[in-house]
Amino acid sequence: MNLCDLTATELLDVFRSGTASPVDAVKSCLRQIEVLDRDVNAILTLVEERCLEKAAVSEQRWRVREPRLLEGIPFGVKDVIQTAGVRTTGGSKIYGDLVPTESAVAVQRLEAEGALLLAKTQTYEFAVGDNSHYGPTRNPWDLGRSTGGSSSGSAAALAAREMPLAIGTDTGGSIRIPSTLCGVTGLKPTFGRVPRHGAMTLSWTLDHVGPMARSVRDVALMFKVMAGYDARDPTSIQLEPSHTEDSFNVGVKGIRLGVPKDWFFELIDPAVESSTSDALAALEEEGAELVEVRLPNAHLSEAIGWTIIYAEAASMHESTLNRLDEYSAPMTQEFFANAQFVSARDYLKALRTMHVIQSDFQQAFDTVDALVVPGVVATAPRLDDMVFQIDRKPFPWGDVVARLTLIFNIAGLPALAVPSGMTDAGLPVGIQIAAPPLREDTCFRIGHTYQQITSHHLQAPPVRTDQRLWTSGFGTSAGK
Amino acid sequence: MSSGPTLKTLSTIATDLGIKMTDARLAAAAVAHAAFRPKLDELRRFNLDFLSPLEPGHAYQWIVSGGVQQTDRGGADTH
Repeated sequence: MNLCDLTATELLDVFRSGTASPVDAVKSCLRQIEVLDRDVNAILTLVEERCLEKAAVSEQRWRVREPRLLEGIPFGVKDVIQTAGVRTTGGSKIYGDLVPTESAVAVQRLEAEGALLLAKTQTYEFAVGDNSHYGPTRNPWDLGRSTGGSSSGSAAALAAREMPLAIGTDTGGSIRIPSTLCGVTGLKPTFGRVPRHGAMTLSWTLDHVGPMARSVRDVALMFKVMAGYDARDPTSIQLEPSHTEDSFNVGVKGIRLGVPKDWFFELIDPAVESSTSDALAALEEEGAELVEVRLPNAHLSEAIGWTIIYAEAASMHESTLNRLDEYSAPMTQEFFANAQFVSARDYLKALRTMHVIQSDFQQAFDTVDALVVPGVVATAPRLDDMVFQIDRKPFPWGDVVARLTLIFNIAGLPALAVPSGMTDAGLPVGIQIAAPPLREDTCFRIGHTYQQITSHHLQAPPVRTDQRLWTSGFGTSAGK
Repeated sequence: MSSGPTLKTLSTIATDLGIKMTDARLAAAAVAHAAFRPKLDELRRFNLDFLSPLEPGHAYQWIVSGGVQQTDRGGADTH
């Protein structure tokens, strides 16, 4: 077992025992990146020297027994999030030379607790479209396939064991989609829970910053550090997060899990449906009660979400909209071209109808504690066509990618993506666990219990620094 | 059910907004909006109550309150 294979929680135990140090851990991650990232392309900017210097400081703090919460744990940051002294491109050549003087609040908080910025990770250009300029990020489970996005690099780097923790952003599913397709764990917190100051805005109504890792326990640890009020984000919530530690080792006995069949199960691949059913059965076996619930207006969620994202993104990027040809990614160019033609009336209707979706959820939460639904409609599409195969029928990426995730951005609910298995083709699938606003602890409780009784989150792609199975830089689907 | 904005409509809007776009990009945008139109029409058809109106701020208020109902039924208007 290499240090890079360990979760953050396991690394902290190792540091505490003195059998390895933060410098050892950083070097292990760097070695993994050196060997694998030529193929995966999860890393946009490596912060090697600074990270090793800070790791030496962390090592000293462990030596004198003054560790902070995340002392010596390497982490990555999606490149739409600002990092002081380290370039922040937004995945675009337009900002290819931008070096911020201040880090985003989420980054500052992680570093203040001893975490070590190791790398900026790949992102779709401005968190939407694709990432042509810096090259596609390849799914570590199959290099011919997409990671999904837009937090592509964060998810791929975690899956490839290049780092134990990463930050992502999520406007319509951009933490949960790549987490699901890469087999890692990621949280979209309650809207306003993690301050967004320092993250490039796509949609101020729907943007979230959140933690990604390889276990619920690690995600909860990151969340504990990242969450909390900051006046520079006007939507930041002035409430302390509930005690996440209370979520662990209490199980799910007596908890009521809602299963909304009417939207989330209408258009999904049988492999995803089967895996979700298995997950529900496993939780029921642990004492949870399954209750069917309805979300009668869920069919409005895509119109609400995309109308808001289009309108707000066009506003945010108005200074560069006449330079669409300078945007690197064709899908991003297309998105911003479309975004300019949303009427004020439609935008405001979408904003006003958000609460209708919330009312549906509130009625569901009158009878259940949380919802468990599929993560993404199908497994990762091939990079060369970006088509989802749902029950062997093709669906273009953009048509269905956010179908199961965007609704939680609209409602502002916490939603946790958790791996729930592998298909026969060796590709990850996952579930989402959603809870009422401010109840991340409920997501953690259910997700952690699930990870205690299953091993899906521990599955690693078939690559190792000492046993490189990839021979040509392409996975099993390449050339088919 | 409408079919979405025509190329001419988008071109007029773009000119009015001072946005320079190639004909090809405008044509692609017209296709995309036409594909999106059925979903948008559903949203447009959904009635919201006039006398007990939903405002954009209700959504954030609901989140901060921990999911406590702000309106009596979600805002639909049967009139």
